Amino acid sequence: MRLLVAEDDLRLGDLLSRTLKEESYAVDWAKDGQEAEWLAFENHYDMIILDLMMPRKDGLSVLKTLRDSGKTVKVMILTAMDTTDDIVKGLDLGADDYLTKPFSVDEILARVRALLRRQTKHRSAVMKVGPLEIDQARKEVVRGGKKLDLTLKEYSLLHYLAANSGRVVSRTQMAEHVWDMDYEPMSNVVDVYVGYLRNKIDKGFEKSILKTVRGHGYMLDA
Amino acid sequence: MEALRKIPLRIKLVLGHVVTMGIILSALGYGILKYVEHKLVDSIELTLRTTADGIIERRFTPNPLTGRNPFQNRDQIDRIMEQMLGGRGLRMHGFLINVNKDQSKLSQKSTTKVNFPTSRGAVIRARNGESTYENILRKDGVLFRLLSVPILNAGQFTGEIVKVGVSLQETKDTLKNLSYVLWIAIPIALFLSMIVGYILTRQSLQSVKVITQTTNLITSSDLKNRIPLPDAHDEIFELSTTVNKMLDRLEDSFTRQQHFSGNVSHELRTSLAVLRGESELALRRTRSPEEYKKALDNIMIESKHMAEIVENLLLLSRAKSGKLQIDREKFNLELFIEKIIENLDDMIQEKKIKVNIHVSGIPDLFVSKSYFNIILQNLIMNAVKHSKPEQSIIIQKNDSDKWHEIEIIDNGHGIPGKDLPFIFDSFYRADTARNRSAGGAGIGLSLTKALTELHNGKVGVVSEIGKGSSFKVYLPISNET
Repeated sequence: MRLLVAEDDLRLGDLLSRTLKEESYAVDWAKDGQEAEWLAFENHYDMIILDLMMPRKDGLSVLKTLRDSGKTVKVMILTAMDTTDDIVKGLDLGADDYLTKPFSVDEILARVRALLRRQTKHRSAVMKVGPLEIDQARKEVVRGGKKLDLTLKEYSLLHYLAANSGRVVSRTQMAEHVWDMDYEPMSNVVDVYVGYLRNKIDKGFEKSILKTVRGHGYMLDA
Repeated sequence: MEALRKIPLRIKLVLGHVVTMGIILSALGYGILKYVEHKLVDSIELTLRTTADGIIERRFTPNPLTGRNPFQNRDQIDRIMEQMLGGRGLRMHGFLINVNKDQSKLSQKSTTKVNFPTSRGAVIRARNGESTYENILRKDGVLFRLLSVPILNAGQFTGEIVKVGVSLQETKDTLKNLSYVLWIAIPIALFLSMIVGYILTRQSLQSVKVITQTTNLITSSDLKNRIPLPDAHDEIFELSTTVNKMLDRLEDSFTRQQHFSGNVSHELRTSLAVLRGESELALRRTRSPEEYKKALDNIMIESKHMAEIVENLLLLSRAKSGKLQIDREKFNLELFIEKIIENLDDMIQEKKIKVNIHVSGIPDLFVSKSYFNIILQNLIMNAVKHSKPEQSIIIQKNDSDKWHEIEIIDNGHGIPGKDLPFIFDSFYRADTARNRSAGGAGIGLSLTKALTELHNGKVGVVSEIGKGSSFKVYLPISNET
């Protein structure tokens, strides 16, 4: 999953990026409203974490522009303000959730998971895709009672495929959603990781669920 | 008197109005009565006079027919009066008497039944050739106006007096009727005016009520209400506009307060978020010593940053409320500035900024060293931040006869005109400069301003985009040694 963090404070922005990356998300970090808006239109994000007080363009204006042009990306607004005015305005403008500073790391991660979950048909923290059970909170994957040992990137990739289970995802989509801006996505890296993933989740089990769709991409078939 | 003051305004106005009107109307009524009386009496006296004159004229005119003295005939006066006054002559009484002959009547109007004795005063005046007006009360209670006119022949009193009199009853009746009318009309008028007065005052005070109601709606959370203005430019209009202006000022002040407090919130909470986040993140899993060290470093930096913000905010708030103690001293300005430059050395070297200082070392400033340090350091820091690499900044002192002036000039990217009036406001960020990324929190300039003003000085700025800015600190020249 690819996230955009829009936060002007250097230390907080850095902290958020590190926290989310550790949780297997690909993270892009915008340091002001204009950069955030530009990035949001340039790239496809699964979620945007938007601080309301930013220079150049404030959070609410960015949000309004995004929603007005039809972008349905999930948005969580971060606010430090005393009053509920901004929260109400933000939610009414189309934000999906809000969080006030200071927040606990566990909380923000849980909320991010919850928002991302809404885009999929999965309704709890544990994603079930066929024989696979993915505990998003603990980042544990279980198949047939056996706990699978995945690296962070493998987990990210699996998570993305599982979120889109039953649908074909292209290599481009996988590159954009699982790797962040700093990484130059080349299609064989995707293939390589698909290979690694397959090795872990399909090998040794009777049914293959990670399928190649010739000419189109890959699919997790539940 | 205490009770009087407690009477509501409305009632006071109406009562006052009614009482005043009452007095005026009564006085008017009395005046009318008296005037009418006077006029009526005048008219009567004129008639009496004219009649008397007529009689006197005929006295010496022989009857053209008979050639004899007309007043031989008893009814002569009747005829004269009838001639002169027509029907009204019937009600007038007339005599012609001779006082020298024991007041014997020479002639008398036939209808006169009663005698009108000639008063001694009238006789005396008659001998002097003067007429007399008198009021005589007849036996039956009717009041008469009597005129006694002496008849003179070649200036000498002949002894004969013409007396004419008329009843004042009619006059009295007329006046009585008039006073009855007034007795009824005045109270009615007063009553009506009281009603009208009450309605009018109610209406005027209605506008006051509207003002009261509108102001009641105004609370600290709803400062948007304004009093509707009446069409007429009267006192209510003035009051309403004044109150509205006051509300504008209040709203403005409140908004500024809210912005300030919101900004403070944001700064402090963001810092707290970093402190908390770094700690939590570090504790989420087992990490290497290097990672823990990095986390602790970050926490320390942020704590320092937060402490600085808190200190600055406290200082700002105390400076603004004038609660700071200023310990003034004289010091060498040149060395002082050089020390600041030293403190900012890292920043200056990083951009390779050249600093030109044109101040003399003569200690003529009498200010608080520590606060002045903050004032200048903020401005010099800004100048360095805004300058492009390898540019130079100038710090110079231009004194006038009333003010010390310290000017800090940079050739950086300048400040847009629209931002200039606000840059000394707390937390104001002009979009061109990214104070935060360079470490500030936005209160440097407002702190500079507050501390300068605490010393009775002023700050000023001139700037042009692309060319640079010049910040000036003015301090009054003191006469302290």
